[in-house]
Amino acid sequence: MEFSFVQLMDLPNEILMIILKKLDNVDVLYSLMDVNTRLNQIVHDPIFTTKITLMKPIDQTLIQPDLLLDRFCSQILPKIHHKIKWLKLESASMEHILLTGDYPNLCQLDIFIMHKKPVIYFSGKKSNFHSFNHPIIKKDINLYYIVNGIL
Amino acid sequence: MAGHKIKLQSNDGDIFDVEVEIAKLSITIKTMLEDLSMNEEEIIPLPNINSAIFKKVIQWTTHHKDDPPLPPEDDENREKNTNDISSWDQEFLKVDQGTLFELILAANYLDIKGLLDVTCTSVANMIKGKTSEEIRQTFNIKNDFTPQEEEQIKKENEWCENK
Repeated sequence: MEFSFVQLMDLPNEILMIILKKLDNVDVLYSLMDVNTRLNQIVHDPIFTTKITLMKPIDQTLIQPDLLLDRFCSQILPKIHHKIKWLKLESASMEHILLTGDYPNLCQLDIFIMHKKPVIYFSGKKSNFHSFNHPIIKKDINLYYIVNGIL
Repeated sequence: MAGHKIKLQSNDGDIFDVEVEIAKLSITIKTMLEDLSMNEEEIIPLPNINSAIFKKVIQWTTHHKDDPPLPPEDDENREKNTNDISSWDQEFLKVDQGTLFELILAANYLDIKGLLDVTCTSVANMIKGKTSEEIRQTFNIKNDFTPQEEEQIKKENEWCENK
């Protein structure tokens, strides 16, 4: 078979969207934000920025959790925090992430607590989160306790 | 109907005799045959596909002719399992990047959902876990930011790199 010169950037946006929809939003943003102007426009589509799950990657050989968190907090979240409507976070990193932006459109926050005993004590009142100086939640906060890896 | 063949012509002039049932895995060809009343004696031109890529498409559709149809995709609840490429497809997709992208374009033009799905999944796997610089290198993408934009991105990166 002859060598073909078609490249990724020769594909139309419609097909790039099909490819990117096969990845988690976090993977799309981590790998493709700030690659070039066209990809930047694509990854800012609400389909990739509305719902963000920032948990430790299942396959940590692909992305180191610290690098992922650093890139999101320093480069990605400041650019998209106003678009996020639903955040899923781990208790261990939630403060760092929530202090990164204002999240004016956040409607739901799911917090996964990875210890037998919760590291924060939460009564269910929104005012508890004012300690971060962010009146962030318009609707729901859900707490999930994960004990030994089980929800 | 089984065993009946139609003639399909690639954009470089080669003519392929393909079983109707296999050709109809392409919704584009199926539509030509059914809705546009093209008969099975006519040569159907495929102006967007060369013979090398069309051979690969026929190879894939022949192997997958008995697969059940894929369910429709749901953006909200889309599955993100990029590991579920069968071993046959993995072997089939051991091609250079250009061929992989041409297969994607062919699958899209011919409207073969299964082939489009597996080829796009393969590219998604190539993207997963890479940094933006690794993406540029892997896919030969030019950094087209203005010097001012580039400076801003570098400043943001320094915060990360100095940690």
